[in-house]
Amino acid sequence: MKALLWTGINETSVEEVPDPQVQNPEDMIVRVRRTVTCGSDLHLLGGYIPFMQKGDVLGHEFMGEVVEVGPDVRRHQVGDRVVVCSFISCGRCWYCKNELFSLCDNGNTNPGITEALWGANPGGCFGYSHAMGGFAGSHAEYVRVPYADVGAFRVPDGVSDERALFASDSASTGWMGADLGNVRPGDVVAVWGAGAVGQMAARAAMLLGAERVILIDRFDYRLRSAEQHVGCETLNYERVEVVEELRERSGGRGPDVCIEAVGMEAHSPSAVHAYDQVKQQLRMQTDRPTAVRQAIYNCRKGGTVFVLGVFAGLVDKFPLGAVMNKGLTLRSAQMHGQRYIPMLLERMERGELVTEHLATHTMPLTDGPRGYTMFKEKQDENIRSVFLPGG
Amino acid sequence: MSTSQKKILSAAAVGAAAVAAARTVADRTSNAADEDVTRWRVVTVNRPLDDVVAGTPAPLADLGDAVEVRVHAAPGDKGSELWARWRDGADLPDDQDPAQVLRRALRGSKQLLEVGWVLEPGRHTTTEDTVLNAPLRKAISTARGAGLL
Repeated sequence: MKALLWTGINETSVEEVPDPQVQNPEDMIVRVRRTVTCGSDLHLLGGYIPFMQKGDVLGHEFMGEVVEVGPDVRRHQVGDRVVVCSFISCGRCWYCKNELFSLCDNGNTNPGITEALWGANPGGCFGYSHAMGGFAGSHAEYVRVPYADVGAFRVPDGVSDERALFASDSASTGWMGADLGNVRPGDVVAVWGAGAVGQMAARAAMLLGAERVILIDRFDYRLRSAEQHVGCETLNYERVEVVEELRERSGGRGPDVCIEAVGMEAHSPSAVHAYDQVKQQLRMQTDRPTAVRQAIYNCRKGGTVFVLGVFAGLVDKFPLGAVMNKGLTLRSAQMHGQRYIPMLLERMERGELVTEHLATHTMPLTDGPRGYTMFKEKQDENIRSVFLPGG
Repeated sequence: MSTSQKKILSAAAVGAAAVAAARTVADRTSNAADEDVTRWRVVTVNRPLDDVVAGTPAPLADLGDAVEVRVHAAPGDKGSELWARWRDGADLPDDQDPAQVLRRALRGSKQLLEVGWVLEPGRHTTTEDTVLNAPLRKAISTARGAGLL
């Protein structure tokens, strides 16, 4: 089969690789119909998450058709159209039973790596480095899905492939930020990052009853997309002062909930960005936390900051004093998608949650390297590149 | 300096850092407590105590009398705690790190009790061995037995 491989820092190629096989009794094989780039892939591409090997298959957000099931798979059969959660979780450990699926004890086959890094291991993830289990990713014609009954969900007939695709990760991650960020009716919510996850977090906040939702970014085309398809307010941080604007839009209080959907390669127009970049390049910090700092600084007293963006290691100038003295609740997680995907598919079927606009560029998998370049460089107003392994 | 030169230098810096990070992890696959081979190691299993005491799972049982096992109820709703240690004077594996052998056995036992089988890693038929990924390959090769457990 064909697959899109990581071949070195900022290098990918599409090559012929062996087909995956059922290895465990609850595995199934999915023929990938759609698979999509994610901002967090850029951290892998750029070597910021240094646990990739030359030849690893990329991709973690996907949907497709079941073509083979292991003997203990009960909920799926050949021919089912499914969307698959990006995180690999057993469904039976204490964390899964408490719906903290990305913290699964059993889904990561390389637990020692992340125990050494972070003190404990999260679950596994498709195509997301050997720190997350080294599972082959979804940018391929076929993919092995472990714990298929836990992580794969049948797509309702009324939901198109294009829409269902984003339930796999973007929509479920965004929903988690609003849900675990404790968004309540009447809240003012600010979201940093108008990529797919940020837009979905904004939409989730609206559906959970927020009074005002303000999405912050520096690219006008992404903000226009959010205004048109999500219906939230927007703010371009290169044109206005974020602090003053958020104060004005929240009656002087600051947002009740601040959701950071940017991650470890954040930008800023200020001198702080240059400082962060230099420190990151010199490995004096591994991640650039610009948006996290802003979320903490702008959040109202007693509010909640939720970190959705992916971080891998250490950051500098973390405003712990603001967290403590303002009495903030700081939460974060990789995505507990299994908790949300069935509900999201229902909302997609009812038309409450639309995602097609995120797929600004759809192309054959063989164009994958070009798709990543467009995505990374924000060419042609790219929000996400979607690959069709079937051509 | 041209943009392409900057990109090359940046990639080189990131690449060097990546190798360093992987080497750090590889070096941390054991910890200070591993020097005490006979210390107790423990996993919490999300199963009722009766299910865990019913029989020592194969990965631990395979280590035979060299390993002492005990089981307690975990506090709250967290299931059971499965403890194991190498007995004083036991014949230790001479070709592998005993601490890693015991960690693998505990993790495997937990998965057998909770899930019924042990998750196999993907077969990495597409990855290539390079000089740069040697530290990472070392970390991966011991990752099931490494860590803080």
